[in-house]
Amino acid sequence: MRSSRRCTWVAPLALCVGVACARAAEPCGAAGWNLSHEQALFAGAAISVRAGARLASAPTLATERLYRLTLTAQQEVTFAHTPGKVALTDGAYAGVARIDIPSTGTYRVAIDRPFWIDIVDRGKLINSTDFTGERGCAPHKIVAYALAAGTLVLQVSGQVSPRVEISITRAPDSASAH
Amino acid sequence: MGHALRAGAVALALAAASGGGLCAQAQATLGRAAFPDSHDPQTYQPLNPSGQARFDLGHAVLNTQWVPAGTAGAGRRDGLGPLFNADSCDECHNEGARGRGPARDGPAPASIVVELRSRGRGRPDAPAGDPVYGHVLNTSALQGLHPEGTVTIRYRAVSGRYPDGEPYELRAPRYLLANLRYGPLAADTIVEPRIAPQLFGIGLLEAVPLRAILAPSARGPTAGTVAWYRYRGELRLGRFDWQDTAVSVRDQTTQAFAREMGLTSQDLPHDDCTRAEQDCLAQPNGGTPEVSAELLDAVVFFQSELAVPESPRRAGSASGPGRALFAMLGCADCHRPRLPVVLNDARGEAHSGFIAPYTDLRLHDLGPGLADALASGAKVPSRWRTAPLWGLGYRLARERFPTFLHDGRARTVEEAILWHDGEASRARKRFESLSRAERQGLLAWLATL
Repeated sequence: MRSSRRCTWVAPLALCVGVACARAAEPCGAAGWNLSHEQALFAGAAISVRAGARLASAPTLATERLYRLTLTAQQEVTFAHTPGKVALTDGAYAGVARIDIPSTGTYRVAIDRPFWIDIVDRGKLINSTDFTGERGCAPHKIVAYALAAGTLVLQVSGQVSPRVEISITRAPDSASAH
Repeated sequence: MGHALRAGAVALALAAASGGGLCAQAQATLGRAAFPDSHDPQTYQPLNPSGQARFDLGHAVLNTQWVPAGTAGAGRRDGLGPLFNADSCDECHNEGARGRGPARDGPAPASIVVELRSRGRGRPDAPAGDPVYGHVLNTSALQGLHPEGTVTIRYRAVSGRYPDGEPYELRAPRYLLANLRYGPLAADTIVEPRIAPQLFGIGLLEAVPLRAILAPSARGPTAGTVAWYRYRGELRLGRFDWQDTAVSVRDQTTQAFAREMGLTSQDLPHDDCTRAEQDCLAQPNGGTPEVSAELLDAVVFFQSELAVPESPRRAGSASGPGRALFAMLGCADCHRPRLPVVLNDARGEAHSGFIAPYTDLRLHDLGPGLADALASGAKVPSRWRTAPLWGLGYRLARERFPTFLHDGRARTVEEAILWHDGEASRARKRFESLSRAERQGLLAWLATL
């Protein structure tokens, strides 16, 4: 996964070279996921929110919205649970938010940068059920979770960026992530 | 923390005490551990506190996303690119696992890289890449630069039928390279699509004595061959990657850092920019080297200590007809169920033991169906390291869409078997001639590995 802001990708062109002739990059969503809802959200305006440096100061996010979270240097953040992915924290930013899940089902967290995402329910990390990501696409990374209705904790960590755009949406067919 | 080797150490001691009276199949082997949490990879032996700290640091390095040189506050992790395929080891080797293969037609996933090897340049012990693009086609670039190209996969269905009439379908890939930034590849460049292999157990494969690889149990048509490479002034046996092109865990790691992430190390002080790529060469670096000696040492140590995840289906099912069929068909001639290792424990004391990797670490011609092609399109004879089968059960239980073989073309283990040809054609034909129940029995047993 990589940041769409720091990298460039080949624009769709039709060239005929090398071992075969090819049309260039596939449209986003070629991995088979229906991302139309997330793509529509990411094409619109985001709600700016400062993420919490600890749970007590964490904002509450709703589903089906796009947020632009302002983050805090990771070493100053107190997480609800240690991030599920161990990584060097040099220069990393992080943040904590609560999320209101209206009904039990499969939800997808989409972000525009390759932050590590955790969802915490009553002190325990919830394992993701699937993920996808495509170069040069917005959103950049989408992770699916089976979530119970209620208020959960969302954590992002690990990336060298003080901001991230993020949405939490119910999967199109809640029985599957795709 | 104790200092004894994990699983099998007691059995080995008993075997030694009783004069080696345990039969090979009953004798426990080293290297396996339960992985209840995929984000918490396990070691094959207990580590002392300093070893554990080194392992944990290496784990963090594996997962770290590198950023462009000069990124404010990036500390030890800048220097990505300028051209690259992935920005972290973990992007392709998720917590040590094999890369995700392609589910369908479309852009090649990041975990499949197209390696480039010149047939006419370089030496057998020091292969050269494409004169313009280098050793790997880099499909991403930092802002302001263009990637070297794009890779798209198109599959063609290949239908077949077992002798008993049951149909099957394979998918044969075509790799479409486009948007080549610096013009066509050299005509004699071999295009080598390769999926990121699993890292589990590679330290144990490094501990297999040379003599065990050079003296294969199977002589004759399935004996295969080996490859030697010039590495830090010495001729060393290749034993890693899909074609034994890396001689050690460290060699494999520094190659991937340099060629797939654009990160230099003390071993490989240059990334994959060639003289033809002046825009790439002109970019700032993230230090000399970009991966410090401490971080390189740690990530190599992490990989070297990684256990192989046990199969959830292991208990009670290891001794079905599948094991006997595996041997009877001739699969075990190359997928050797038992290799010796010599390991150092946390105190630096050497221990001998056995592992069950199901490989001979040798190279075999598996026929034209799997062979690579030149940029001009002509197939070239290709030899493949016998893929270790350990960890197969973990993959099958954990992965939503597991794929197999060097480029992920096989969607099932059965498809992978059916692609075997060349030296393995006799074993494949025997598999095809089994009854459906026997084939399923073999596949069920493989899922316990």
